[in-house]
Formats: sequence, C-alpha cells, structure tokens
Amino acid sequence: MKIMTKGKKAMMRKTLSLAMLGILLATLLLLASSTSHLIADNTVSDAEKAISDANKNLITAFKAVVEAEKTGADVNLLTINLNSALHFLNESRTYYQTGNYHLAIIHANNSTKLSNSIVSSANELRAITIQETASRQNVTIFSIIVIISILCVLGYYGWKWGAQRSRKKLMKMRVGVVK
Amino acid sequence: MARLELTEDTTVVLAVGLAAMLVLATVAYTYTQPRPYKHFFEIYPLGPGKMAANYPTKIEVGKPTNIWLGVSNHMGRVEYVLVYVKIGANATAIPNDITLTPSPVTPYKQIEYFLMDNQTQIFPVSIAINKPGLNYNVMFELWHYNETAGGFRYAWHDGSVYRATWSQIWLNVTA
Repeated sequence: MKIMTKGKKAMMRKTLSLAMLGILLATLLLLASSTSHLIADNTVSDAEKAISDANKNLITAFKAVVEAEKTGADVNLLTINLNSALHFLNESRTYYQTGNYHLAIIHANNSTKLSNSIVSSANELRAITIQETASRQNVTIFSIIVIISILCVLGYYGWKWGAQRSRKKLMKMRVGVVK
Repeated sequence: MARLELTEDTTVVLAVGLAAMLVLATVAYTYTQPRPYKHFFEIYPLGPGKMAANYPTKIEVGKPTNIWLGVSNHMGRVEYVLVYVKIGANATAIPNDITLTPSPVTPYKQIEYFLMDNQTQIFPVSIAINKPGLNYNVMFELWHYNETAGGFRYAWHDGSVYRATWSQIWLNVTA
C-alpha cells in the first residue's frame, strides 16, 4: 500500500509539474503571439507615419527650393536631390504595399533625411544669393553714379574746350567784304 | 569758393547730364524687369524609338507594350509634376478643355517627378490591357503641385489664363 501511495504521489507530482509546464508554455505562447501582434501593428503604423512624414518633408523641401529659385539661385543640384528623395519615397510606398514595413520605414527615413538636407541647403543658397544680389546691385548703382559723374565732368570740360576753340577760331577770322 | 555761374555752357551740360541719367535709368530699369513670359507645360507620347513615329495601334491582350512619354516644363521655375495614365474605352469621357476638368477614369499608373525650368524628361510607360476591344484611348494627364491649394491640380496658370495639358493614343486590343 505504501509503495502504491508513493507511486501515486510520484505520478501526481509528475502530472502537476507537467500541467505547470503546460500552463507556462501556453502563457508564453499567448504572450508571444499577443506581443508579435502588437509589434506588427506598431510596424504598420510606424511605416504609415514614416511615409506620411517623408511626403510632408518632400513638399517642404520643394517649397524651399522654389523660394531659393525665386532669388535667382541655381537649383539644378537641389532638384536632382529632390528627385532622389522622391525615389526613396516611391520605394518606401512599394515596400509598404508589399508588406515589407521594415524596408518601407528605412526608405521613408532616407527620404526624410534627404529632404531635410535639401531644406537647409536651399535656405543657405537663398541667403547667399540674396547677399550676392544685394552686393551686385550696390556695385551697379555705384558704377552708374561714377559713369554719370565722369560723363558730366567730361561733357562740361569738353563743351568748354569746344566753345573756347570755336571762339578762338572766330577771333582769328578776318573781316572781309563779300564781292 | 567759386560760384557756379549758370551760363549757357553750364545749362547745356546740365541738360545733357540729366538726359543721360534719364536714359541710363530707363535702360537699367527695363533690364532688371522680368520679361513678359507665357508659362506652359508640354506632354506628348513617343513611339518605342523615342520618336513621334511608329506608335503602337494594335496590341495583344495582356501583353505589355512599351512607349515613351515626354514632359516639358516651361513654367519659369522648378515644378513638381504628376502624370496620370488613364485607360478608357471608346465612350469614356476624355478631359474637358473648356471646364479644365480631368477624365473621370481611375488612373492606371502615375509618374511623379521634379522638373527644372526648361527641362524635358522622357519616361518609359508600359501598358497592358486584359480585355480585347477596339478604340481604347490611353490618356496622359499632366498635373502639377499647387502650393496654394496644397496638392496636385490639373489646371495651371500661364500668366493670364488657366490651361490644362493632356494627350492620348488609340489602341485596338486583339485576343
């Protein structure tokens, strides 16, 4: 009887430990599945947010380039970069559509980085061009003033010299009677 | 200090100086003003050889056909353009040039690009139609980003009036 009881106890212990292990495994599986679901959800929303941000930043970069161009700056290089940022964004959209959210986020972030660098470059270029235009205008105004002054002085003395010469010529003339 | 006498000579020099100043100022002002300029976009399909010739007219069902699409920007500034490729059947409404409204057909494809002023870009377009039929019109609509509206718009301002640009090719699809 004692042996039977011992065997029963050992069996019970085994069953209990197996049940505990099962519960533990089930909990772990449940946790894993719920966490993975959460992670997947986050990735989708993260990808959506990254794409939306990249789109907004691209528009901001475009506006900055337009403003820089208005000042007369050469925006060829910036436009090439805008197309590169757009290319990254398009890649990101494609990855998002195929469900590859990780790559979608990476490409969208690359697009955002490039757009941000375009904005800062465009602002710098704009400031430089404004400064250059202002100094060029100052030089032009100064040159016009100098040219007009020189013309006035030359005109004044030229006129005086011409008048004196014609007066001298007149004085040298002899009065004669026309036959 | 010598007093400036307003003799005949001085008057003439002053008059000539003033006239020269006026002429120079007018020339400088005209030079610095932007010239009156008509802004416009261009869009045109090209054949497989990137020429305005040998356009496909007959294609097989489901078989992709490659053509090229040229887009030019003469708007006087960098532009963000969007081309919608739309495929419609014979009776499908084409874009309206009077009301400047695009075709109601759902876009089959779209191409986005940033174009510099006076830049022309050629894009490859692959078209595959999965249903046989006659007179499919493949429309190419040019939209541009309007900062004021905050989105892409079909009509654009040429400096005096609003205009819209689109083009099309006709295809017969055989089984």
